[in-house]
Amino acid sequence: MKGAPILQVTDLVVDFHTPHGVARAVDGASFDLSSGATLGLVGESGSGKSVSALSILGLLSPSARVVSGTIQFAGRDLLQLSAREFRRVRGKEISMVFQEPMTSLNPLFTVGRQIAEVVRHHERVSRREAWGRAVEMLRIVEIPDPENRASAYPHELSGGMRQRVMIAMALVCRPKLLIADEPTTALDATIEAEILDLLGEMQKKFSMSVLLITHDLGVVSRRASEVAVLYSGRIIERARTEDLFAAPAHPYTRMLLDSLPRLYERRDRLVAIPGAVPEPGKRPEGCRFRDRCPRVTAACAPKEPELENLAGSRFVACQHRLMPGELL
Amino acid sequence: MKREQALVEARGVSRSFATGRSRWSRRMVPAVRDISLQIAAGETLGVVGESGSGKSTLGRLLLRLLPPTSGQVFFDGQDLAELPRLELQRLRREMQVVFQDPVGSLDPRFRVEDLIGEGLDIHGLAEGKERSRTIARLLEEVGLSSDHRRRFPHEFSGGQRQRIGIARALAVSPRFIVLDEPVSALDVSVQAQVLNLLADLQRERGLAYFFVAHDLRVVAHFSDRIAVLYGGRVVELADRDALIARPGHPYTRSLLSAVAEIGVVDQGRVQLAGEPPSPLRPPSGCAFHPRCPYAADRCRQEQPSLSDRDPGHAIACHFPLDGSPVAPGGTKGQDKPEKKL
Repeated sequence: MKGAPILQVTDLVVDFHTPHGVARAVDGASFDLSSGATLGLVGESGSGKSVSALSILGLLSPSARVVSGTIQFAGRDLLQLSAREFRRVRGKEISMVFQEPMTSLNPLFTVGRQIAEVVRHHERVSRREAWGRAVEMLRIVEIPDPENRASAYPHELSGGMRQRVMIAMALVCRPKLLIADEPTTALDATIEAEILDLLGEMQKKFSMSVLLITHDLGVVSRRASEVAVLYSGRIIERARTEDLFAAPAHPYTRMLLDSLPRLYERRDRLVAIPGAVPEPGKRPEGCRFRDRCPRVTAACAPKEPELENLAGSRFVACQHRLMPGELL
Repeated sequence: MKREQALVEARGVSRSFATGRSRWSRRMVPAVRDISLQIAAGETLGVVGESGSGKSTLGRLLLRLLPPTSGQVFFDGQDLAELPRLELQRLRREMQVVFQDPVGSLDPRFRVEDLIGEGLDIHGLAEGKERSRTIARLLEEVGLSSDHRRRFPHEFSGGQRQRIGIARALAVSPRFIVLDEPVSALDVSVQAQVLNLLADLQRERGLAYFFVAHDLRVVAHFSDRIAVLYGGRVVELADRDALIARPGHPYTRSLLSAVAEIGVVDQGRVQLAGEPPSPLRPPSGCAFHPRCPYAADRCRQEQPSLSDRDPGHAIACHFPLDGSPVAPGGTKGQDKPEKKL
């Protein structure tokens, strides 16, 4: 069910102004998300995945600035919207779920009231009707006894229940795009699996597109139809999920997969990528994975490799990419 | 009384914590309940369980950083509770711990050499030139450079800080290390570096590990045997391969099915009702019964004891699964295996 792109991010560049100077958190990232699809945005810390998401939501901190690029959503460039216009889009057409529901929910109000407030912000409805919508939404996300639970305060709910409340709040205005930033990272394994299932069901029910941001390739393999791999502020590989896992083309993707411990396949040793993701000010010239890459040659600098289209929906930014089945 | 074989042994260990603000509202809440297990020299016992299952408390009990409410912990055959204070302190050299958070567990005002040297000083193991040679050797052993000795913890990345934490534990030449979520805060690529390092050190030094993690994939990779904790008790204990291929406790089965493994088709998860039990209100009988698809009357009334299904594969369940192999879900494109718990 691949449709036209609902979201198209092109050459996004985001700077952070710190006391130590300017740090380029996102450095020319481009990706798009087809209508109804789930794109997994994966990367390690410092790859720029969360900053990309916050840019789409217009929620960057005051110290950050979008230097260039466009973010096309449903026919307009989100970066051109005023703060006021953004408030009408956020929560209504684009919604988000974050990692830690406890810090995203207000501890002083009942969860029902917080969901109802979202409805009242975007639609002209009575308090009573908004409350009814909140209860209905809690039922949809499978919270038992929603009439009573709507009157509960966040601390009275478990971590899994709070994340369900966050999802209810995100979806109550039927957004077209949901951005989920590490939605299950703080949860226990069995609860994580339930929340991922719930996200899948909700996506079908409301025909949403989902941008799933995570560091966990296992979560991507379970949920996403397409994947974009970020490294140090740039996208270095993009593919359909099965293709990426079956035959990664970028040495970084290959090594990342080999560094994962597996349950059903005993590995004596994990592949460890030497060193660490470079900090924004210390990126090497040319390919930024160069210093850690076993395939590095003189050709990897000074020019930075562009994201090239291999075939179909496969893209890779590497001069020494791996052929299918090829090992490092 | 000396016992052979096990380096570390817990025998019927329980631990409760007091809650409540006043003397009158205070209640004792059990965190670890009647756990018995053994760890041999050079072995890794992995522990999995959800938050509140008691896994970190158990680690602290094994080190006697916490005294048990009841039960005994033995190290090298000696009952830790019976040791005089000074001897316990001496024994502490042999058992060390590495925590999850390398930021919170390293004092930011100490230089690396003093963080690593602290144990040497306390136990009077090395002084002067000898001390600095030892520190330099330890830094190199954990993959850092001896030039790093004069720096402070904040000058290092998360992975490097965890290496410092490991060097600190190794300084006193322990035989047993509790690794409490040692790689949970690290990026995947760095996590692999640290896991490989811990495996190398184990081989070279013959260390025994008690490895706690919430990520079953990490535990499965790293452990020789695995204990599954639920509601403060061991519900299953077996060799790594046997536990994963032929789980016997319905909870283990559901935990395995919840793991998102790359290239493995979701084979229909074992859905659980509800949430992990609150230690404040532990369920009657088997703690898992409110969420178990097989719960019967007996499970609501009677706590199942841990007993061997196969040699070395113990399960605490009135109706354990028979141990028919669980297919790893098959790879994409193949037929899905039959949905079966």
